[in-house]
Amino acid sequence: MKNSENKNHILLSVRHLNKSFRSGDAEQTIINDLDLDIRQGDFTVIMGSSGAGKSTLLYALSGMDKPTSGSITFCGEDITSYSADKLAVFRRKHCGFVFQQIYLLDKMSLMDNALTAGLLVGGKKKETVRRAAALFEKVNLPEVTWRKFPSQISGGEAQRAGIVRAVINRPEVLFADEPTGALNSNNSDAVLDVFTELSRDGQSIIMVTHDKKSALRGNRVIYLRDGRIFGECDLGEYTPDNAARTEKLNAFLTEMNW
Amino acid sequence: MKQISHLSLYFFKKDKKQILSFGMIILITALILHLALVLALRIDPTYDRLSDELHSADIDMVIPKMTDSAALSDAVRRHPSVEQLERQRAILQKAVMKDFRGTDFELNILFYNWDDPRAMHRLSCRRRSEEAVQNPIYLPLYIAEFGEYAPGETITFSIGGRDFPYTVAGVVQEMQYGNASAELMGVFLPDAQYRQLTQALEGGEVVNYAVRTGEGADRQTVLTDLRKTAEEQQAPVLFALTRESRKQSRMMVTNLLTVILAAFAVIVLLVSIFLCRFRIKTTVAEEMAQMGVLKSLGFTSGGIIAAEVLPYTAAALLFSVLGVALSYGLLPTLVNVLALQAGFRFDVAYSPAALILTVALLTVVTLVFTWLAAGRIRRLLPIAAIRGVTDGRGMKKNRFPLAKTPGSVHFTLMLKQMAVSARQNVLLFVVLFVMTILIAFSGSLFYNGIIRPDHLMNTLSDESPDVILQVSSSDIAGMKRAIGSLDGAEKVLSYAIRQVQVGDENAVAFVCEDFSKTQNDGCYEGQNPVSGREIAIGSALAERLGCGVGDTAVVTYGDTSRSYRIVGLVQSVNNRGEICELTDQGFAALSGGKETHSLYVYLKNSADADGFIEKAQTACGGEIVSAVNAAKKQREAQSLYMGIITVVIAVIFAVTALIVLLILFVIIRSMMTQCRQEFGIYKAIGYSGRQLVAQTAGSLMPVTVAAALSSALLGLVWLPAVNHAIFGMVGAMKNHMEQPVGILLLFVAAEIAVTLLISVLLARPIKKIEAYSLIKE
Repeated sequence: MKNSENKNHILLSVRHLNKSFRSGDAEQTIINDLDLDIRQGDFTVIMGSSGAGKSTLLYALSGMDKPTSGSITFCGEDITSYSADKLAVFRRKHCGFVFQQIYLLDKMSLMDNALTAGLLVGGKKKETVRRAAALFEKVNLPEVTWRKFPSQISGGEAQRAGIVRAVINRPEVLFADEPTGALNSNNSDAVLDVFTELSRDGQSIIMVTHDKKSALRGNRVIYLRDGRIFGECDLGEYTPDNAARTEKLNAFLTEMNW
Repeated sequence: MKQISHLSLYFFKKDKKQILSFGMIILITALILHLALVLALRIDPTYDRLSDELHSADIDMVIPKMTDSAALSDAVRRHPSVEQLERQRAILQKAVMKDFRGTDFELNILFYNWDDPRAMHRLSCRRRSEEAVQNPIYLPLYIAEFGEYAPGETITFSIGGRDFPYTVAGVVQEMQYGNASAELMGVFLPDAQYRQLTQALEGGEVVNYAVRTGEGADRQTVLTDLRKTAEEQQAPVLFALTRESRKQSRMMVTNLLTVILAAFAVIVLLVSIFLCRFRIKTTVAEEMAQMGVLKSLGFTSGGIIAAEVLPYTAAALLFSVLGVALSYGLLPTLVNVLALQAGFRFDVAYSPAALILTVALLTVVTLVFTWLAAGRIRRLLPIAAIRGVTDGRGMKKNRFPLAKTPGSVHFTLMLKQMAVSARQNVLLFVVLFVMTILIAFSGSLFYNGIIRPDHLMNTLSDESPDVILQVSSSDIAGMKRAIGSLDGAEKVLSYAIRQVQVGDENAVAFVCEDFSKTQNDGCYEGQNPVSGREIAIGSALAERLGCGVGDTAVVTYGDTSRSYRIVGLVQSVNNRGEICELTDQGFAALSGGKETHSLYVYLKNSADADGFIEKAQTACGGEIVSAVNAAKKQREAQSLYMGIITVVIAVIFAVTALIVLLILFVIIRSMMTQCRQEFGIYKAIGYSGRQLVAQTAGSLMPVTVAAALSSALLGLVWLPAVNHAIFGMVGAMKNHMEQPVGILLLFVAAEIAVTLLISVLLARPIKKIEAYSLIKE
């Protein structure tokens, strides 16, 4: 069920999710009995103060981390019971990741970074290479950069290459953890534009951010506090320079004491 | 200083498992090196000390008693280099020792009188029978221990078809003879038994001239002079030994083992040098940012290098001491094995020289190579180091691009991982290359010692028929026909072994009707004699006489001398190269054709040698003086060699596997430290732990295969040279060893499979790494 047009379809369903860490004798609860549904095609933004559990929730949803209890259902299947290897298969087939630290493989060219993910799911090599090239062009990375190593390009270019790697397998969900956190303003805008374009193409995105400008790109904002959903705001479809959306988000965040 | 020691402790804590692996390899190196040094430094002096304690003579010369005279002894005493002479009476017989290590063993035996006073070649009784025994005999250590005769047990000598059983009353340490390879041993009978034997044999009485020479005398030259003196007095020298020739025959295996151990130690030392270099360079790369910070705080390059080098040097010091300590645990076993062969015992004493040499060498080598490897720290600019100049900035070429490289993504990623790890590739290549040298050597041993044991046996032994019949008949041709017509006989050869003199040198003469029909052709240069005027001589004789193929040699047997043209050079391990080959016709001209001969019988089925002997004795019993099941003897010797070879192969494989395990542990641990984040990214993308384990282990395989195959293929070139050198050391100038490509490849394949298995096992912890925890890091 790739990028279906069915906007009401529930892609991810979370029930009574708990995640706690033990530190010495003390147990710290990060996610606390959380319920959440993620709809197909939504650009969901998760916000909250530091330690609210944003990243923990993101990585639990994507099968990168195992919750302490509760269930996460992806297209009707509970992924919390998956083994490590099965979760790896789940990630490669259904998820894409964009990280704040970018995390490109530094000993590989940008093209190889993309193909490392693209060729993992099988399919014809030529087609995968063509798709990678198309995506690079889509994120405004010219051919001359494809053979470069991550250390030879700017942060913004690296992050856009990271997005190519994340979406090359046409994942059901694109997970992004503070994707503009390490970028300057210009590079941030370029990266966010890519996200917006992907969202318009029907890509489901879940993005953690503490940046209001980034949050405006989503159509749904969830605010976490103490591991629970403290509030939720529906912003509607993103359009540039939409003052009403900005005002709505500001009001929501004020309400959330952000 | 305090800061440096703190920093050093940090480096140690960070790398403790790798340092431990390095220490283990140093321990193995120290163990082997120390064993080699103890053998080299302790056994030789022990041999000399024992010889001095027992007042060993420098030269022994055996002559028939009937030719001994006061004039001869006076003439010997008058030699300017002779300081002391003692004449020792004995009975010389070619005797078969029954049940010598489970078989019959023929040797020239000198029966001495135990009760005769001895100023030279004194005897030190090491073990005695607890009870008084009937018909007592005292045996030298070699016969007692190698032949497996304990005090209280019976030893039977078969002389000229008559059995002489004795009970072992004691085992003595003597330094008069060598071991079996000297072809002459002494045993000791109390006066009553000595007299009985003298009467029973009516002949064979000899006198041993035990001579001590002055300081600095060339014993070989003195011996040559004394031979001439004896000749002038009409006294043929039946056997002659110098202190050096005795020592050579006794110390042969010890010296061989010392060389092999030292070579082994050098190989492992080479591995440990590359390992510590690899770890230091890897640590510099891993800790570059921290080193930049330290430099920016004011630490000097020298201080950081010292802190980096200190844990490895300390490990080398500690583990080399442990290795030395461990080697003392192994020395008694090793010494027992060597004592069995050398025929003398030596105490496992503390050797300060071996200890200091081992520990100092390993510590200094470690210090020097780690210091050199850490030199890069000096060139690091603090800010460049802090920024981590190595992360990908060194990458210039994208090797094995995924878009263009044929094959699966996993295979290509494996190649990419290999291509970016030059340092580890060098280490792995060196280790696998040198280890394969040992594996190839063991493959060669396996083929030539176990699959085709005849190769090794033919290299180390003389002509070996299935049955040896000593016949009394003068009608050798008739006997040959009779024996040859018996069921089971394939061929029969007239063969005899006689003691002759070639020039001034004593030698064993192999006399055969037709050398082209023998099975073990020992001729390594020229050809075997064909006519009655031709002779082939052993390597040692050729060297001493200063002659070669085409020259003439004078052979003396009894009173008759005759010259022969040297047509070839032949080898003989058992007689230290002091041999010659003569045809029947050629020897008949010396002996007058009155000598009894042996018949060498080759059977269609060597397993039935006992049955054949029965048939032969039934058919021509009266004419057969003695019959020896040589096939059984050969099989016994073969099984002994095969046992030793199996142990050697097992030890080589175990040590190789251990070293490869330790090296792979260091390499894979280093990879896991360096690529921890990379593995996390792979996992986040969707690579499973199993795939990453396979990719990591697989990335080591191209280098492993390349190193193992290139070393093995080179082995085809160097193995014959190594075998030639090793066997040449014991006199086997022509070895029959072959280098089978199939076996070599099989051994190399086993090595690669073991390496792959170890790599997979060591890389398994990658599976436990969680993507999320790595991302968090």
